[in-house]
Amino acid sequence: MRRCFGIGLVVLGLVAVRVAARQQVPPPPVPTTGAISGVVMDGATGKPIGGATVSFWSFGSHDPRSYEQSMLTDPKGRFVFLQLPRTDGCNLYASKSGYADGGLDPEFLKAAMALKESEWVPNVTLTLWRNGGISGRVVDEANEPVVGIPVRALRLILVAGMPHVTVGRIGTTDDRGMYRIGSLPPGKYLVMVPSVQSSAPASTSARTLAGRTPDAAPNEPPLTNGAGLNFGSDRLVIGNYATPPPATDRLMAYPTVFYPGARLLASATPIDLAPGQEKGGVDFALQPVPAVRVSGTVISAGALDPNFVLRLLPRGSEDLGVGSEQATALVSASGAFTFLGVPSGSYTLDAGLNVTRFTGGGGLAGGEWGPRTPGMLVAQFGFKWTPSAPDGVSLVMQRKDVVDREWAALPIDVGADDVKGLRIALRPTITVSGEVVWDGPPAIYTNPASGQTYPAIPSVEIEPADGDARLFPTYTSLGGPPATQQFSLTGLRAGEYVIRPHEYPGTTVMRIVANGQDVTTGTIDTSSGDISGVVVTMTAKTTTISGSVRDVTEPGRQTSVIAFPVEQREWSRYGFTPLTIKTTVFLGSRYMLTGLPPGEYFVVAVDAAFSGAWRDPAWLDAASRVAARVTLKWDEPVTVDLSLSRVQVK
Amino acid sequence: MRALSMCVAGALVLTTNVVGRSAESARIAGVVVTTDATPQPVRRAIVELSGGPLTLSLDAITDDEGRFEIADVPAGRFTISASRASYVTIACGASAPGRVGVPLVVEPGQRLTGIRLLLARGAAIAGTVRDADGEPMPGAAVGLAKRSGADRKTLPLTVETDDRGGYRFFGLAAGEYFVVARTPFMSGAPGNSKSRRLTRSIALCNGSPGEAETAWTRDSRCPWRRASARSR
Repeated sequence: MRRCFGIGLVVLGLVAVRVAARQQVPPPPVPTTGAISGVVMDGATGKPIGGATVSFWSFGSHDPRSYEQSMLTDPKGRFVFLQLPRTDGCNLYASKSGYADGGLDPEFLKAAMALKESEWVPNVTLTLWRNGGISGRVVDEANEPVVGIPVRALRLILVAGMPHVTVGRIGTTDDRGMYRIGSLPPGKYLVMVPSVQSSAPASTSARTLAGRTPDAAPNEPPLTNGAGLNFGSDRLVIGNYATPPPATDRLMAYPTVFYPGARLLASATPIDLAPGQEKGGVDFALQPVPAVRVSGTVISAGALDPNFVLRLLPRGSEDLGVGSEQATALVSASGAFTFLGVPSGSYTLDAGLNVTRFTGGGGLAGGEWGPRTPGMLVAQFGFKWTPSAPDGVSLVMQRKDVVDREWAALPIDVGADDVKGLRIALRPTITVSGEVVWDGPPAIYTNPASGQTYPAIPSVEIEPADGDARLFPTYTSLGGPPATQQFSLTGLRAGEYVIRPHEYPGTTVMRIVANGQDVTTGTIDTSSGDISGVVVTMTAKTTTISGSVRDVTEPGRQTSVIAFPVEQREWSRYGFTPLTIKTTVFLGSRYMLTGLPPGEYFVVAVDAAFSGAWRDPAWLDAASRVAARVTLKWDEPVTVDLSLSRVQVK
Repeated sequence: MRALSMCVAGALVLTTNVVGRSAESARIAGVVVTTDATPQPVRRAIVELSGGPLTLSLDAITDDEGRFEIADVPAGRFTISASRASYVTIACGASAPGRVGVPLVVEPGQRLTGIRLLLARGAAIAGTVRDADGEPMPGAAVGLAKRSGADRKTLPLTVETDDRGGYRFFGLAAGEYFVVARTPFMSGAPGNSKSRRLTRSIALCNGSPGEAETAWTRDSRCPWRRASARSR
């Protein structure tokens, strides 16, 4: 139920982001005479689910009035919504405790159907799948339970067709050392017992250690366990993770461990969780190992942020965010830093204010924040919608309020001896700038509800081509002021990016040129510094594929049509938003897709359960063998009638 | 009272045993044990020394024999306590959890050993919240409160039931508790939008687990259906 609320917040937030900038007037009343009825069903058993919450959301093609209604299903799983408004786009979401959230199209904010005035859509079936859980016990080297420490489930996912991990809910061990991570959707999971060894200068004030800004109210409670051991001028914060043995001649630490006892993510054994499966016995026996100090200086071109924290991540875990490090170090005002208690191993040192990661392996709202990182500012979180990640997964930014000026990421190998005198030279972040131009006269967007018009200039965003969370800047750096043709994207790291204009309905991206190259479906590389003069050409022309799907006879049956490019190169590495892959989920047999750039495409119709399967390049490969092939040109609609296909991935 | 005498006796004996040192900093040491009839050493307890001129606490971790030592202690009047998850902290010199302890006064250069800190094994209360159909209720708020006792100020604790309707409180001091269950946020059927509460009490001894099962019904005319609760 909380998730439902979470979805609501995200939906409202995104709607607000999209439309807030466009001036609004109170809309005129619309007639509310539509109706939708149907049943909520358990995907595994085919039995109806009573007491499920069903919500109707209308997005009405940028209609700022999200008309929302919710109800509970009766014991036979039935629901009916009456007095619905006419809408160009709406969706139904269903949730029930113990089940993963579902919907007509489970993607948030995505319109799954239209509703005409006085229309009644009967026999809608919403399918929900039971969530699973992973549980086990954590003991230490004396076989005593380790109490009160976080255990994380990491879900293996594809983003932009590339392998990534997302962090989900945290389980916390109880007095018996037992943990359980529930509400897990089906998927492949790694289980991890993090052991973050956090250090700070011993002179750090309790407030700074607690991550409080200087202007925070003095009576705000501390947010970290400030207990610590002083070693000379450095302090090791203890008590948030498994407490290490006392230091005698040398420090000891529990290394971060992945089930079944691996030190690196790549050597962990995934757990394949079926719908509703309870996987028990995922046990850990923690063993302390000798640890060393890693120290040096951070060199910045300007003044360092007072809450600058360096993060040391086990090699291969760079996707993971706060709470998954092996060690963190708060940098002193002079730039000096010491990581106390680093076990030998291979690490990546990451320096930057904003920490970004994927979230939503098991629920968007709450339950996934572990202990705070000592010294790191208690932040304003931000979310970025990532359609190329699985449903329910989005990008979360630890700091949406800052744009990084400088950054560093470098491999560090730690052996049996202290590492001293490291010099971490911060690199300036990169800016990509340019302008939006029109092929033909500039398009004007008319709000269908209010009749107001706006210049249809897209907000231009930038996304890491491989979906690498660490390369995402922050919201603050995205786009320009609304309705300006200039854009400047700041806070970027060295890497490959794609430029993504988020266009208005009725407009299409024609061309994106950077450094004299057409990068419409390609990437730009920021390794050699700032890129200016990027030209995004938009057009009011469009492409259209439409037709009907044979074999669909039940009116409540949901079908999905997926169009994807013939060019295999475009099946992956397209950032969070593919430009040349479009999908639609609909009731009935008629479909329509618009807004793809001209070119050669495959089109395939599948059961709506596979509406998200395009995220896997292997599935696209299999689908290409049963798909229809079309050539799209500007303003020349293509009609293709499709058969419902079964796509078998080898 | 025994604890009080131990802690203070140690301090009194040792205040007279000041080892003359040129350095101003003192050193303190001691042991953390359980309140069991036969006290057991507690390993991996965190001993926290705070107050005096300290801005951040000075801390130590106990070894396998429950021993700890803190060096570089400035002179001053401190609070010292031991903690370990699932154990209940008892202030230095106090006889029971929640009682006020005695401060530890450290002279310049003093070597103060023999400090004895106590931890009580915590008790646990666990259970399940169910609805009228006997279905587990995830996301219900479960609160734990106490009517009396010095530690009642640290309560109420509130947790949310997991996806199977389960909850568990641990590290609790012995005493009589009230378990309060509230229905989940936004779970209301029509006519059932108000959050409902069910309270029951449960008595615990040191280290004893208890179990509480609470149930509620969606019928607004009959707000509760009580389920039996049992102590183990």
